[in-house]
Amino acid sequence: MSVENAPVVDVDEAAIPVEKKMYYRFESNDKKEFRVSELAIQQSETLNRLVEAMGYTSEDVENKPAIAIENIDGKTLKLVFQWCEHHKGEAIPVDDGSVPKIVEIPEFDAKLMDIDNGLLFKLIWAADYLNIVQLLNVSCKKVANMAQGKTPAQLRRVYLLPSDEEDEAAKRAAQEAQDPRAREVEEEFEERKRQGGNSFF
Amino acid sequence: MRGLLDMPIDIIEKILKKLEHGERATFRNVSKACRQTFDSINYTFETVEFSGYRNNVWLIIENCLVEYQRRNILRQKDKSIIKKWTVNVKLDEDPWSKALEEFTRIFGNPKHLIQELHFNYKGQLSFITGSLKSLGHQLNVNSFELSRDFDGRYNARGEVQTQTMEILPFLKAGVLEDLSFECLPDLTDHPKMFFKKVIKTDQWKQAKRLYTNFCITNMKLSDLMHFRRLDVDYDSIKTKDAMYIRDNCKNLPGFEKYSFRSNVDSEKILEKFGSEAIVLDDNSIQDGFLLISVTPGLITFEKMNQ
Repeated sequence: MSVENAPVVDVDEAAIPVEKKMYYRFESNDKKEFRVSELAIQQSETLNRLVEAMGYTSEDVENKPAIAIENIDGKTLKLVFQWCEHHKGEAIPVDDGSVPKIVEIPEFDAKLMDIDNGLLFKLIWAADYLNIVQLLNVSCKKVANMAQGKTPAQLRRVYLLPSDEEDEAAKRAAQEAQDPRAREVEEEFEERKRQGGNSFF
Repeated sequence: MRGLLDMPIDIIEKILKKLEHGERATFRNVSKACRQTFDSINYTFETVEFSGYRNNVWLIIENCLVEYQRRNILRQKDKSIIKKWTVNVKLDEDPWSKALEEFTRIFGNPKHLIQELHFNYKGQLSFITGSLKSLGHQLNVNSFELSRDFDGRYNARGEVQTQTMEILPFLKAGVLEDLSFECLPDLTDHPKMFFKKVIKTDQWKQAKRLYTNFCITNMKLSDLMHFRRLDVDYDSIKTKDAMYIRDNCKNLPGFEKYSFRSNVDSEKILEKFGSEAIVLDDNSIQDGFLLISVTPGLITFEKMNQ
């Protein structure tokens, strides 16, 4: 899809005509464009620093290309910006390295995170990458809550954790990918075995 | 599709630290990779408790209980416990060594921190030193409590010291701030216990708070004066002892409160201090920032603003 034809998603449509605010344009790695209010951007330390450094005027944000966010797809970025718009203006918790065990998940956040586990993990990645402290807090808590009362087998499914056997198979595959000759040697050996021999010599 | 273990380690840490210990233990058992990840993260455990006697031992980590039993004995139901496992121990095995085996597995990471470590037991503890030695490092513990139920027969005055010395040297001096030693049932006649070896350890010398409900034989007051908070039984406090303690309280950085349950020469002490300090009532005086209360069975020193 070309950039010109990319859909523009207004995350906070209702707020636009009421007052004149600066709306920045961002683009996901699958070329989806989003318009996000200045106040909402403040929830993300990474984006806030970026737009401050760019020093765009309101004309610039319309005329210059949308700011590309390379590592995040449109589906995830939409959730991120919906969260930021809903929580704009709220105090940002100080990240002092401590991990609060008790975190309340507000109703809006709970609905927003009512998604499949793969997308939820992507949302956590994005919150970490964009340094959105409170979103990271609630999304980690949501993932932690998923472990309640689970057996190891259930945890494996919920958290998409490979078993020891799958880990070993993946490791072997990675080794072979690094050294194709090893695979050839192994195939040759198997072939010789099939032909009746059990040695190279 | 990316799973939990593909996340950056600081995110995995954030998630695991929001789990209760029971869920963390289950996560640790999923696979080798999960175990390695779990063991690479430094946790703070609020409470770890060993309790029991010869046939049954309970290891309680936060709100999870592992019961090592030779006989099926019901433990009183504890509402704070949300997860429980039972391990049957054969007659020729020792439930304490089984519990300690699990303990050393969990605390193999030298960076884990235990805020409160409790040992509550009847009878003898055994195999502790060997298990703790096998860790190869000292444990980070803020508060250590040893509680020995003598069932009313105080016939071994060195036993609390022996058990303490099996554990105390394996706790990191400096990190360990609070010490608590208790003989049960609580008796009012100040039972006397040997503690000479304990007093010589760095763990004792660097701790900040002490509780005992027994007298320590042949201990000098100077062995206690580095503590910021004391709540102890003591043989007897004479006027010169009280003056020595008062001077220490005034000069000790971070002083909190001293309570000595003791035979106190209350009249003489009040008379002596009364000439130098402000008398507040029949048994308390204000001496600088100190509030000193004296009765025949108890003398306390605390800050006025507390």
